[in-house]
Amino acid sequence: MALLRINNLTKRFEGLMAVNDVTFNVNAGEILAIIGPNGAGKSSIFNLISGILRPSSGGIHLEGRDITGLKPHQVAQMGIARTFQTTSLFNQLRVADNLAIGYKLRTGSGFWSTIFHTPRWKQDKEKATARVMEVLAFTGLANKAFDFVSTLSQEEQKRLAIGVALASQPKILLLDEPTGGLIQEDTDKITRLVEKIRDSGITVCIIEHKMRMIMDLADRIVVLNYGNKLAEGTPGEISKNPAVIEAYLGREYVA
Amino acid sequence: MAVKFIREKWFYLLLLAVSLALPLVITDRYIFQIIIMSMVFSIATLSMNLILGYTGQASLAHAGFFAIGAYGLGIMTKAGLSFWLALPAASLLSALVGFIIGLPTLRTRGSYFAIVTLCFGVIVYIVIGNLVEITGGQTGLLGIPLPQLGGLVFNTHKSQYYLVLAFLLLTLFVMHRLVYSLLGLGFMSVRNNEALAESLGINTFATKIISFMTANFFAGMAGGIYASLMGSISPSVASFSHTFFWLVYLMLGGVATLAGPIIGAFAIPVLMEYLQFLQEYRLIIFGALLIIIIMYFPRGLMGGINSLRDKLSKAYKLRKTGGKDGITANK
Amino acid sequence: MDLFFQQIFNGIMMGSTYAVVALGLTLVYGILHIPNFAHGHLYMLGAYVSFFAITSHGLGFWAAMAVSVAVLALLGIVVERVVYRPLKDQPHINSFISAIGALMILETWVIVTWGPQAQRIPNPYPGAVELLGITMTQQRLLLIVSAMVLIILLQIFIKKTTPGTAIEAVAQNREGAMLVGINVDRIFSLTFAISTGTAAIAATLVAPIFMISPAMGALLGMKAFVIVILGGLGSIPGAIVGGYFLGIVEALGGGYISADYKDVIAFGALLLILAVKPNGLFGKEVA
Repeated sequence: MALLRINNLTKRFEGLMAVNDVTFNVNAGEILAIIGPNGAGKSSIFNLISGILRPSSGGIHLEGRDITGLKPHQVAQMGIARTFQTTSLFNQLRVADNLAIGYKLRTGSGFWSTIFHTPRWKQDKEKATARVMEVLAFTGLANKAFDFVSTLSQEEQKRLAIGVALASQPKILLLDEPTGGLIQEDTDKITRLVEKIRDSGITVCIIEHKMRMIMDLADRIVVLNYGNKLAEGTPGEISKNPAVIEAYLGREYVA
Repeated sequence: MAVKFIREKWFYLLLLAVSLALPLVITDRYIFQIIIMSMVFSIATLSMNLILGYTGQASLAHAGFFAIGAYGLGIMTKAGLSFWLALPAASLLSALVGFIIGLPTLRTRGSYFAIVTLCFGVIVYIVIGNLVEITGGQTGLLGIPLPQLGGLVFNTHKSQYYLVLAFLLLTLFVMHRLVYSLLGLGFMSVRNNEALAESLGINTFATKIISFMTANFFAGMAGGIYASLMGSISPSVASFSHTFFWLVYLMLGGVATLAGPIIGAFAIPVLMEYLQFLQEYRLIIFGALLIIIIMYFPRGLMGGINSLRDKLSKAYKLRKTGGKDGITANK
Repeated sequence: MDLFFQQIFNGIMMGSTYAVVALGLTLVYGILHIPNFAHGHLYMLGAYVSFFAITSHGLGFWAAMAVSVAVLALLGIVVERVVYRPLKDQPHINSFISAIGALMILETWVIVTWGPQAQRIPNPYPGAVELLGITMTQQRLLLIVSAMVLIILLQIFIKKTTPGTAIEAVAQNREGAMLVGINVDRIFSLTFAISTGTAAIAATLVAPIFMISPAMGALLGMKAFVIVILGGLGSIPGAIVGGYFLGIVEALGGGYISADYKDVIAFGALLLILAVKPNGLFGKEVA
């Protein structure tokens, strides 16, 4: 069952076709990987989905509802959360604060509720605290709750970034190279976290370069090249697809 | 329960007690004047802290909104309206004008907002100076009545002190509630990483507008109080030098803390009194101070000392617990 | 009808000043990506240095201008080094605050040294010319001509010389410029020097026409910002066109509608345009 539908998505910049007529679905409960050489348009697709970029043409539907052209905060409210290629966090704040901000969109207390500490405000505060504890436990960062982001290791920061996105209780999580620059041991930690996320019922769409990791982790793969979709299928199908092998996998892939 | 409250908040209760008792100890009129002005400027600085310190938006028009509140109240009370109606009205007017200015400019990059607010401050000055029938032009507004409550006229330093103290406590209360909440985290998220905040479902534009309007409300309120206590105001209330001084108070006292603006608003005027002999050079010194502080203590002087204290206590804790972090209080 | 042409003439005159000042500002904005809030005050200081050179040292008008240009160019380099460079990796708001400190220092120093009242620089070319029913004082004509010459020279410099091209390169892509061996630090200094030096020229040319005062910098700076935003950040043509446009609109507005509020026109225009196009008239979509 398709949770997210991408239809004929195109993004043109002046003189550059970043994404060219790309169509694919993300099914509920799966881990879909998007792979392709650098500049293939992978991050652009994420930016189009999450609302940072407006498509030149084409449509994006979440659970049947058209979310094309919505602003980033609206897309997030609809249930799509994402991380960024360069780890993006609130580095002036503590870990717990980062997570609370991630959850904030699920709360409803505004200016007046906050000033008067209405029951709604108290409820939101309790729910936020509970959610923060939940995500801390889920991501294994409980002992760092009150530390500042800058004191965390690189892998912990990437885990935190994923946690912040998770705190928003998304239906689908977009991960943009969550293991970028990490050594094997740390990559494995993140991989296990991603599997845990999928097992908890959240659909995952992940951009990655590490082929061994993706072949094991992903249920299905979409291959992009120069903004075009080259192929779509299971890891097994992809690894045998001649066009993909020629364009991307080549001899570097060890089966 | 009450005992627990007292034990946790004893420091603030002590401060409250001291501030309530102060007029009984101070009798010198000149010192009273300085203290009362510092309190009014504390309100202005606290509100500037909200938009600039917590939300990270460079509003350079703060004196302009102060002036709108001052003239708003002055015109209304001279027309016969009660202080207690005119003050909220003038403050709301400031907030509303802030909304109008913020609407086109908070959508864009921070530099534009800074420039527009800078211009706005100048414009307020010009407009006030030109609307001679309404504002008295360059001569200003004279004969603004003092606040009254029932039969009591606030014409003594003691009564004025308590009046301003009440408003300062109100401001502190509202700021405290706003800042120590998810809303406050929202402000800080916009300051720290606006793109990330957007992607997490936070309407950063709405957040900035709320912060800006609230800041301007209290700036207007400070202006109104100032006008009613001074009795006469001129376009100089909109002068950029006010914005500059509040910025210095803020940077010196500590950005994004609630104590910082108040500390700055008291410490600097006191410092200025001692530096009287330096006359106009004071402004040069403060200008240089501002540059130095923003470079070496971007969280403000007090903020810098705070974080130094944090680092030291962390190092101390680490040594004590043999490397495992304890959970430190989130304040 | 004569009034109309007179206003147009005045508009072109003020527009010339605006264009030169906005040009310097936009050059710096292009490489710094931050507005130099102290620009207006540096312009003001340029007028005062000339004033000082003429009245205290008896220098001729052009000699005084040369001195002013030299001093301001140097000061521009200092400002870049002291006020902006240490903060280049910090949030922009820190640079704003630093610049505010700097402008306060400048304004206060001028007040302390020469007093807050307005001063007059003697007019080196007091004659006037009657043309097409318009009275054109020689000084105003000089201003217009000099400004146009300056603008043309600057355009040639930017487009045709190596340092000028380097400035454009740094404006477009700082890292790329570094990679091809451009000394970015020196380019920053050069750009600032040009920016403040040209402001000094404009200020000195204008000074005999109006009086100078410590407060003149703030207002002019504000208009320069408006022009730069509307004309497009870093866009030289935008600054030039915007400068003349504002000058003429202000003159006509001041002449026909209200003299008191002519300074507000720029601001009103800015708000209106930002409401419709949040990135300025020629701004690009901010990703």
